[in-house]
Amino acid sequence: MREEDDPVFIARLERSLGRLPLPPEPDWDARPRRGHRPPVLVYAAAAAVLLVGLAGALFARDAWRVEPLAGSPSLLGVAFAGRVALGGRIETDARSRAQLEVAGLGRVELEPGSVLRRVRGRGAERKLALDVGTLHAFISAPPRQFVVETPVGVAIDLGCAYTLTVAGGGRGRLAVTAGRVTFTHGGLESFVPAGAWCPLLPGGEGVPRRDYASDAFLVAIEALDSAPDETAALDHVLATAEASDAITLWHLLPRVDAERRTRVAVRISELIEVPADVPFERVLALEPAALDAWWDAIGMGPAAEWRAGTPKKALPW
Amino acid sequence: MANAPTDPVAAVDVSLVAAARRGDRAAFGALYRRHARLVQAVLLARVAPDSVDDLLHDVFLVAMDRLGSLRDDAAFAPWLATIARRRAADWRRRRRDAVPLEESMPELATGSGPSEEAYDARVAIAAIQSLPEAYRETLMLRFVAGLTGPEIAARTGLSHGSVRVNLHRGVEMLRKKLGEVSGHA
Repeated sequence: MREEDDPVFIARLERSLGRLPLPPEPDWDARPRRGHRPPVLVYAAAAAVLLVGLAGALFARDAWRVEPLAGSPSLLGVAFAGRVALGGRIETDARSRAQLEVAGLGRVELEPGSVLRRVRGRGAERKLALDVGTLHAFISAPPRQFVVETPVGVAIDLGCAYTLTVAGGGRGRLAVTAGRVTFTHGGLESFVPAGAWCPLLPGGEGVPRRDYASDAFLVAIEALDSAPDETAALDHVLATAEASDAITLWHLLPRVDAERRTRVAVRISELIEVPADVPFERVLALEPAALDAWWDAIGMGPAAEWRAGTPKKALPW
Repeated sequence: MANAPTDPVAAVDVSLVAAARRGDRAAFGALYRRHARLVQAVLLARVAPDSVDDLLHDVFLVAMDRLGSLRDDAAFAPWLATIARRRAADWRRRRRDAVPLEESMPELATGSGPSEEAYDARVAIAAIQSLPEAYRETLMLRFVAGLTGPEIAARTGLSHGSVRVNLHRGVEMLRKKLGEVSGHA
């Protein structure tokens, strides 16, 4: 700066910017310590130290901040300074709740009696594993960057808010309150939009269903979850389905045998206007393009968007 | 280690870095307190303010892990600034698909409020972030970290002349920008 620069203006900038708050200083002692090696061993240990250093740096760069919401949640495994790193684990007892916050992604709240681990995702993917318990995810990250693994399958966020519960015996529930989530298990994919939920079952996830489906339909589909091969259960589902339940029926197509698939497809075509230019037999043959065309006809957004992810929109949190 | 530093800040850093490298966490804490403002300034020149706190911690955690790789202990501050720039670049890469950086920055206040208001930190940060890249860091180091021209030169590797020019032009541009905001150009 020079003498001719406006001293009043400079003083104002110094006043306003020179007092910005700094974040609280981390607890450096909480960081795992690496033993000091005598100089003679430095070269011999260089490779190992480098590896540990790189791993530590990766942990640090990826660290997620954990805050207790109630009680005393435990940070186990790789954790330091209130953060859980890759390989680390958060546990809440019967009285504890915790929140994880990651800048740029959103936040996750963990209910009492939960065990949540941070595991390595692919590429830019941020991945958690919910072993047991309930989490609420509020995510505004780009689609497919936030993933939660369960013993039953994998929930992939497309920009959304959802609640995921894993109980004992591989049972649980995924309920989406905003945006969209896809759930995958054993090569099958479920599209779960806001206002829908699907049960997690020992053999995989149940088909998505609307929160406000008729009681008769919800009872029928629950019976089918318990006895997927029972013809009477499918009969009841088809008989009680309404047009807005086409989302549920569409998910049944790849999950039932050929004879039952025909009945499901016929019922969908009675409930909604399916594309006339898509041959029926291609749908029955489970050709991806034909199934996608029928999904598009349901009106929950193009299937291609569900797979690639929708453009980011501002969400209200 | 290089020759004894003439910069008194660097001279203190040398002993703290040596202690921190031996595992003295209190010494590392002292380094944090001495240089947190520098890192805050470097980050504020590049990333959305609401991400600065997290990244600031990450920069120091990376520094703690890599302290053994620092060849010249007197160069701790410029080394730290380099880590911060890289960390900010990572942040921008990660955010590119999510939302344009500019959209995640605080917006400049508009209208004709009192000119004093235009100098509050939020508006000043947004104004600096809207300047060409060459001026952002120099201005942040000057006003957020409170560094002098020679100190900025020592931490950025720029010549004293370049720092002087960047500060002079940057302040002029900033004054115009804030003048437009407050309606008192």
